[in-house]
Amino acid sequence: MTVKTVGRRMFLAGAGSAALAIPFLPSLLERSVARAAPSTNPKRFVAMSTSHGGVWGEYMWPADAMANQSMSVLGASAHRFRYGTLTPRQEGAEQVLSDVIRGPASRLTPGLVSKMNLIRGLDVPWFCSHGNHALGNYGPAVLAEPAASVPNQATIDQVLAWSECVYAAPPRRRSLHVGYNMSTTWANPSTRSGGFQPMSPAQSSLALFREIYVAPPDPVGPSPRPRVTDSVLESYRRLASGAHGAGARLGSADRQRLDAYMDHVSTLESSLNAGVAASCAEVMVPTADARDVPAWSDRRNEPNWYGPNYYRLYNDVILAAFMCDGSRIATIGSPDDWAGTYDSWEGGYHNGVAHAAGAGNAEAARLLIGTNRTFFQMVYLDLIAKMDAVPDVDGTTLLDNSVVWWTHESGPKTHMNDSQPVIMAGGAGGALNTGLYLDYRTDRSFAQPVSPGGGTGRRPGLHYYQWFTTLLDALGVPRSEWQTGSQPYSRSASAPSWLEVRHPYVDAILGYCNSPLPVLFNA
Amino acid sequence: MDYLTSPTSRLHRARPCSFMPTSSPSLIEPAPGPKPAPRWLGAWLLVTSTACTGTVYSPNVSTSVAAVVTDFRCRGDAPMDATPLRRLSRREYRHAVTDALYRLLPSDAAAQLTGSLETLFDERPNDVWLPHGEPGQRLFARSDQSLSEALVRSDMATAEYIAEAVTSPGILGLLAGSCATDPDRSNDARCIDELVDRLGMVTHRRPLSTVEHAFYRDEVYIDGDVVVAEGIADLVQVMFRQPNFVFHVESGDGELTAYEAASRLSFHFWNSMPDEALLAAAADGSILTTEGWNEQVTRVLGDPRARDWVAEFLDEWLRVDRTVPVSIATGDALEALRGDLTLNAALDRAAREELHQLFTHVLTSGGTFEDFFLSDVTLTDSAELAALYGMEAPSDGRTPVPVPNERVGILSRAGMLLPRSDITPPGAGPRTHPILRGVFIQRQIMCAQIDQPPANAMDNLADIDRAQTSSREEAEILTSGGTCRGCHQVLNPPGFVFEVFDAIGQYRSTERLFDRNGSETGQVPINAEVMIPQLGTVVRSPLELATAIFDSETAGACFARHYTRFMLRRAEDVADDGCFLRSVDELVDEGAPLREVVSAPLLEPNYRARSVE
Repeated sequence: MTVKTVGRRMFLAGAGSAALAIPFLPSLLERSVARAAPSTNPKRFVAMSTSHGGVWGEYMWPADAMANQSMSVLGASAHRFRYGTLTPRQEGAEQVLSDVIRGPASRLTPGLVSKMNLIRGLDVPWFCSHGNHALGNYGPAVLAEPAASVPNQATIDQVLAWSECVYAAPPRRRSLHVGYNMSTTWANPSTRSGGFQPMSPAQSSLALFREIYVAPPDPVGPSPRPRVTDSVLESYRRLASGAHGAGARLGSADRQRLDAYMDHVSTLESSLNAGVAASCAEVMVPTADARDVPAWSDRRNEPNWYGPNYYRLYNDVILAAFMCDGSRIATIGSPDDWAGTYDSWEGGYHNGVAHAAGAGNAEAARLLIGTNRTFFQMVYLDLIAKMDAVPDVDGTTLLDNSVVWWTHESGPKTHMNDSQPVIMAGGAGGALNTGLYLDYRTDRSFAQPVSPGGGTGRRPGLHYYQWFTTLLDALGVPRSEWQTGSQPYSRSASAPSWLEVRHPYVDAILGYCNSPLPVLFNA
Repeated sequence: MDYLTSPTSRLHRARPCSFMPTSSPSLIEPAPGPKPAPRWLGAWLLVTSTACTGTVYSPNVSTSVAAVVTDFRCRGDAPMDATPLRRLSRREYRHAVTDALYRLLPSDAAAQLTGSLETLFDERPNDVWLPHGEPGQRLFARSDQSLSEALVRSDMATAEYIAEAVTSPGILGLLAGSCATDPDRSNDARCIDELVDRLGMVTHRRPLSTVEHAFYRDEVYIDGDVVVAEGIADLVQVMFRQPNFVFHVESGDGELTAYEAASRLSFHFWNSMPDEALLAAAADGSILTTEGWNEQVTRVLGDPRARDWVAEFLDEWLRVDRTVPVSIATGDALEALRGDLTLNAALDRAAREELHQLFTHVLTSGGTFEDFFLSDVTLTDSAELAALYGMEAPSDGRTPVPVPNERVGILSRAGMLLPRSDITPPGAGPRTHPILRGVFIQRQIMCAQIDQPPANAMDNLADIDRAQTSSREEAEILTSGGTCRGCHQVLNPPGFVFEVFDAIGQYRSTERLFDRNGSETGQVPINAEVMIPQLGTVVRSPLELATAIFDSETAGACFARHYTRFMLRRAEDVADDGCFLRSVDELVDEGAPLREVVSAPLLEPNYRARSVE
């Protein structure tokens, strides 16, 4: 999609021109109209995660010299870290922040760089192996620590999606999920009860678009017939009460399932009645569907292979959702699609490249630069550039009032989560300072990590949970909604018994988790 | 449900860094009736001297491999289902909607409508694989019971579409009869009443009660005694969204009702609603008799619709649903390996379907599990697959034809050997991955419990010149170190046996080596001779391995666990679900026909019972 300064119709177009097999249902288009203005200065959140990671620090991050200021925290423990202004250098037609974070100067403009942050030195204390833990639920991760000690919990996107501070009224869809699932929510989210379950990623970008987009009303059409939702709900109530069938013999667990389903029906009904922002009129219906992008096209023919086309179609839907205010939360989980150019690499991408790099193979490590740079340019940069081209309230852009965050499954070494990267853009409506390279690693000289690999400069930093604290504070979710006692966001924040990069003052770091990250958070 | 943590379990988890069976024979009460001692027992005693160890940086982290439980004991005290109010799976929903429409409309109209629903069916959230509780094992996708707004939204959209379609001018008369479209209003009330009952029967999978009829007639249908298309549309939509359609409503605590039993049976083998015969057997109560139930089980299993569960079960048990299309294999080395073979989507599909065809053939021809597991025939009609096997011609799709000796047994078929995510990392190139093949055999065929590799498994990998080193030699070099050797001496051998097949499933006697540029650098002879620790035997070919696994009763016991898991739609509990497990395992061991094997747990009394929390 080419985004220009808005004021004209936005064309959501992607590769191909697949058409829906069935027409839109008129009833889907009639039921709501652009009758509600968006709430003032809404904030949006996008989280992206890519498989593996394992990008060595020297390739992922700017030169140390860019962090030319320092600050000490933790009092007597004196954790001194460094930071500085993001200052790209020009190389040919590209702006370069690091080997991975670079892009065409026409897209990665100085203005856009000033709205980004690169955050190094946030450590997850667990050995996470492969697991969809990027959004804060470490329950499903394959842990070296006893897995039973890490309970499931709702992921941060779901905490946001079900906060009344994010949605004062039900949106058309609370959150959009693309690619592999990273999100965990409650079985009964409105009451935050019933255990936890994974979210379902979208099957079709067009279907997702239809859920958040509302066509302008037909001024001469007939009045729509009342919806049947009340009858549907009544049928569930009667079964639960025993009025229908042999419901009196249902068990309590059965009734909980009925309650959960009814809760979702009610939520959906509210969503369908939600209004949309006036800027929705600027969106044009896309014609291509991500699911029609051949999943296994010849991936040597970059850039015409699966990954970019697939995710850019979803980027357009996310953008449309934000413009229509049909949703404010989105996640993208991207698996090994980015391995495409290394089909013939011995061992494949997983073992031959990602793990080999983690184990110290310099050639494989250099290959990881390419895969991650491709994702950055074709997916991440694509979205933030588009968001920065869309005006929002008070002369700001969509990006200014958002947080768009990209992380990896691992830190600089696969399976290890020290310095799990945070690439972010958007200032959450001024709650976050931007244009910074924040390197939260201690600047003390430090012994080598326990295991080899992962490049140079692996030193302990602050706790990754502080990033969650910062996000939730910045996006305006009251602590009462996510904090249990003095625990930080993740309930699994008990003192770790093992860290890949052994920390000299673990207790102090853990105790600091409830504070938003210094320098980043604009108190 | 996880027997590893079940307080009632008599089984104990393998100790860290030790290789031992999960079921210590001395801790399990002997099953009623004579059963020979498991043949692996001697082998187990042999291999306990070779500890499986994995060392990581944290002292409380371990990794281990443990062998399959082959003895199951029937205590007779657990009903089939302990899952509260199951919803229809994605597959079930598609089939149930389709069958309902065929019940409500003439075939041509139903076909047209269901065809136009494909997009909506595809948009229903996927059912996902959930952890089983044992390392490396997972539940079948039909076990996913998550409820979400996306699911509700999808089902609503489908119901709305159906409602609008069946009440369109050309279709309403087909749905409700001429009384709905003729100018005579005096017959409208009866017309609506009859439609409520028809819709109710189809969408509730039982007759409506008087109270239910009144609800739909008077409260859902708000247009009184006059046929109004929009009112009928409301009725249809609610019928397809109400709980008796979306869920498997089983309200009993103890015995199922006749209609519930009929639904449970049809959804197991057909992934769909009961047919007229099942509903009739429920109506007259005959399905609740032993004779009537057995008759229906046999009939339903013998119906062509039963092929659906075969595909679903095999795809997920043998993980053939994860095949990476061989047609995308690229690179000069793979081109060289391929030779004159056609690697295309048809081959991918044929490889997967060959296993479905074979299983169905064995089911319908009176064959045994052994006939399937060690099959020496194929029914593929794929020229591409026949060429891969070195056959002169394929089957006609109905007549079994012999396969070459090296393809005897399902483990040597293309569906098990073509690149797929379980056995071949994406983009693996021309080399096989014997370690992953070995892990696959251990997990899926032998049900060994294999913990995740230790955190440092990939550290300090030896620098191997693959242009000069065979895949087996590479695996041996990589895993011969002290921290790896313990587990890998158990994991690797089954994979080494399959080195007689190359990366795209071709039989070979030598391995062709390539450099990074895809240029061939030499050939080395295949060495497929291995000792299988659990079996305590040396094997030299995939067929010898398959035979040894089958003779050890491991294959049957592992099949019993997977099939029972599939049937229960939850993790099987070796203790509490012993009746089901034993019913399958014993018939496999006895050489009973496969159709009896897969019917056996359904004939257990507890299959038609349910517990309520």
